[in-house]
Amino acid sequence: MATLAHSRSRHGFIAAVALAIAAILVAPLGTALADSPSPTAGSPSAEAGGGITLRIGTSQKWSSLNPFVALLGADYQITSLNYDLLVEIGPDLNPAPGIAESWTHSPDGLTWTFKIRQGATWHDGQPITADDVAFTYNYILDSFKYKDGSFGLSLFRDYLAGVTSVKATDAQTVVLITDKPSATILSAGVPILPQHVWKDISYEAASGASKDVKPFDNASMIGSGPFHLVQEVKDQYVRFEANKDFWGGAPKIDQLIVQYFPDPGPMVEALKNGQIDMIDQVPTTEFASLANAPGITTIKGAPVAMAELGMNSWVPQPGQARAHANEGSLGNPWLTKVAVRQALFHAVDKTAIVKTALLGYAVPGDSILSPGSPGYWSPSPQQAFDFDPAKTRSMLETLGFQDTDGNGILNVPVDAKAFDPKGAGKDFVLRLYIRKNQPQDLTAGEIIRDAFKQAGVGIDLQVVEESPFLANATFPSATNADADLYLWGWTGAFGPDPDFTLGRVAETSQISAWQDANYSNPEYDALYAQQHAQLDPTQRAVTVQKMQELFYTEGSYAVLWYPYRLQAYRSDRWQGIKTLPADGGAVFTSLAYGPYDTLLAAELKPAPGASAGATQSTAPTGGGGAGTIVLVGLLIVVGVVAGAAILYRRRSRPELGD
Amino acid sequence: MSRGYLIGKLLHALVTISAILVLNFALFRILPGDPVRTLLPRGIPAAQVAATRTRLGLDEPLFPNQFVSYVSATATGDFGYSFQYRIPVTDLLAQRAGPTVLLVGSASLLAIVIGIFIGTLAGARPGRWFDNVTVGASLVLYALPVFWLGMIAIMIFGQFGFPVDGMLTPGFTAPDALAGLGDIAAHLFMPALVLALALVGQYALFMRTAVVDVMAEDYIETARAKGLREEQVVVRHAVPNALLPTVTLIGINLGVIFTGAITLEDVFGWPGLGSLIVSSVASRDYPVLEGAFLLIAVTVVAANLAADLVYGLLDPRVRG
Repeated sequence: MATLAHSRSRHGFIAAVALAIAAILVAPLGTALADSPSPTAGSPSAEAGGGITLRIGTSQKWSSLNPFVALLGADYQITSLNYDLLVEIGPDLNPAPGIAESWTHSPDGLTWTFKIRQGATWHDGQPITADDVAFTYNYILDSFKYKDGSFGLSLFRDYLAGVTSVKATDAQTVVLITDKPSATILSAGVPILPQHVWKDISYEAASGASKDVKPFDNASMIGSGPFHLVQEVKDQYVRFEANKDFWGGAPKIDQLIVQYFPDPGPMVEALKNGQIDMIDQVPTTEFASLANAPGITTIKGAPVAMAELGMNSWVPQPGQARAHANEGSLGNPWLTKVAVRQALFHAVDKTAIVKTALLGYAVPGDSILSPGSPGYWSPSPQQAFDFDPAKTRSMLETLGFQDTDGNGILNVPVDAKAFDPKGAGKDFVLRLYIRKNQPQDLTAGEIIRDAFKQAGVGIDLQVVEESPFLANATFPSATNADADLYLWGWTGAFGPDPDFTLGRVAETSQISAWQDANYSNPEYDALYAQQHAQLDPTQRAVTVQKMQELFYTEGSYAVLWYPYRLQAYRSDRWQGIKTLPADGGAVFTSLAYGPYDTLLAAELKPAPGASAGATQSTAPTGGGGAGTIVLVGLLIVVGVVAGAAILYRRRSRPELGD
Repeated sequence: MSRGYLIGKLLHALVTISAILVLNFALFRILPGDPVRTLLPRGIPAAQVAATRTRLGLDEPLFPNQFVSYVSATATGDFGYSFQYRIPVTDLLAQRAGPTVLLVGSASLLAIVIGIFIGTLAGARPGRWFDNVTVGASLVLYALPVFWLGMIAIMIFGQFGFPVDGMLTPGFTAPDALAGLGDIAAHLFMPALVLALALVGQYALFMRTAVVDVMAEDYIETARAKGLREEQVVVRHAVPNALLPTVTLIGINLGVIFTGAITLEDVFGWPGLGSLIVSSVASRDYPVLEGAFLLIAVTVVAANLAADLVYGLLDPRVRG
């Protein structure tokens, strides 16, 4: 009787444990099933008609579908597929018709008139009119007049700098007035938004900067571009449906999927075994093997990005924000002297850095504009700062630096106590900040450190967080610019117009805003204002060249490299994939809007021997046979175990007392 | 089990959780770094940054202002919005916790069942070839880096059509629940297998040692003397007693269920809580970190409480 009771409670206990385990496992399975995609209202399901799907793998995350909040590179790629600009970027990187079919400006350059194309529609079928354009631009401009201005939609502010009025004078015409002639009006990277969706969205929701108001998620993504984002699963994938009514011609594919891989290794495997069709960022270590793989074409896209060795050269001016009111710059004062910077430029071996840190997949740097952008200038052999550490040493010695203690590192002149109270007489050592998680930066930093040491300059190499540490260290408004040297870069995602890079890197008003080197030169600022107002391309090109030359010789950057955009796709299955620019550019670039989209003409290669008109389906199947195998296998295993347990109990039932 | 035992354990758990709440707040606010810089893009003028900081309440004194608003918000279940994703933290955590539990839970179940079985067989006949092989293999598996195992699995099974990334096939709309389950199962196969391999050694070794210890006890001699077959001795007398320390181990491991698969989540792109925590640390996403930290701490406390209670059920000597 005691035995029976004991065994019954034991069975009950085992049953309870089994139930608990089942609950723990089934609950998330259930929610995963519930969360798994169901067809969105009004969109054709993946099975209908055998949709052609192109799958792209990326190792860049996107953050938000709201264009006012989204600031990662992958976000811009999504925007460029889903939306249009007023004026877009053509295959030669020059302005090309977008929502605006044509445009003119008044002789004084202050009034622009855009003719909006007819017959174009939003993804929900509503017509696109001049009102939508005027609304979009005014929505941004007015956001800075709202309350205390802290909900301003800052991401697009620079594109509309100087604009005083935007009006739709009729359904097909937009008139835009600026206070000074502006050469960047045609390069405004502002996605045109549907007024009927956005007119009721408050600035608190749109800017996402409010504690109390839920940020607007823009889940419907109503735009006008060749692809319409219909589904987003955070940090996994986004799915676009082709916009068959797109004004620039329907895409040949039906569906586009961009899949996120946190680790590039599995991404390359997925391309090789066919689970995806294209990779956006091929790691440098895998590029060579993919280039040799059959059926796969690799792309070495012209560089638009740039990496630099920055030198904090802040000279505090009245009116500039600073964190500590009573102090000046916390950076090494010698970096504010042009002669010192020029000496240091000779200690940077760009060729060795490109070869070692980037395995050769980059172009050694010079100008702050990349070779892939229009108006790029490069120095003549006489102007170029060749790698010569001995020259660095002798140039510094001319300035009064001497190795007084014989340890190989030059010492700061003793009589410079007023200029450099902390360092006078001591070894000349500069801090070098390297960003974490950037292995090529670390390699480059070590090469720089060794070469500087050879030249007699000590380097204190520190690995730091990019955000917020490095950002704050370079801002006078945050830390009084507590930095000396650092490795950082610019993505080139602003667009091909040189104005944005030239201004943001080195213009005085960008200190504590976009600038990190805190460079200020009235001559440079004057040239910047000049090119900004030059509507004549030939004249403007001359000014742009002068600016690059000035900053190269006297500025605060040693531009290290321009990385190639390494990509790959299955050319055995796909054809019609273009690049931007058409010659030597990259595919799936965030600069390609509308009809210039690189995937617009992508289509499957006809299968050998297929009859004409046969449709090929690459619609996604759920795990295919593999899933069934796993489930069936699981059932078999459970069955075997249960069977064995039952048999065992049967056999051991008759036994002596316990 | 006595009421005193139960109440004592519950009270202990409550006190621990309160201490965690305070620590949760202090730790993240004391970290150097400015979340406003992460929130706003570069190029924003200093005045707008300052205005945003004021509006988010980040320039108020830590104590009492920020602490009081933190406590009242937590009490109402308001964990704020993620800085990275701009969606409510509770939604984000709910979305990401499930997949991790599924992965770590299924892998652990597999590892526990197989580990206990093998450990028992090995411990029942210590010193024989099966025992030596078990101990050796367990140590090797325990020492192998999970990340590397994952990459090997991808290279092998990727060829056979097992998906290498994510939990669901992008763009696939399941026609019925069974197909949906099949899709998840296909994606779950590799990461769960790899994690189970990494964990099985732990359980096998633990169980094996416990069985060897128990088999040396007097009551085992008695059972044999009574005439029971060796397998009855092992299964009915040795195993239940050897299970006790293993139950404690299971409780500890389940407590850290949410962080148990961080490297695997990275390799397989599994949308779990571990990878969310890693990316939130990198971008100083305080609301998500505070919510996740609280979730993990409560889970650890709850799992250990459950282990204590189960232990009390199994072992009458502990019940008080």
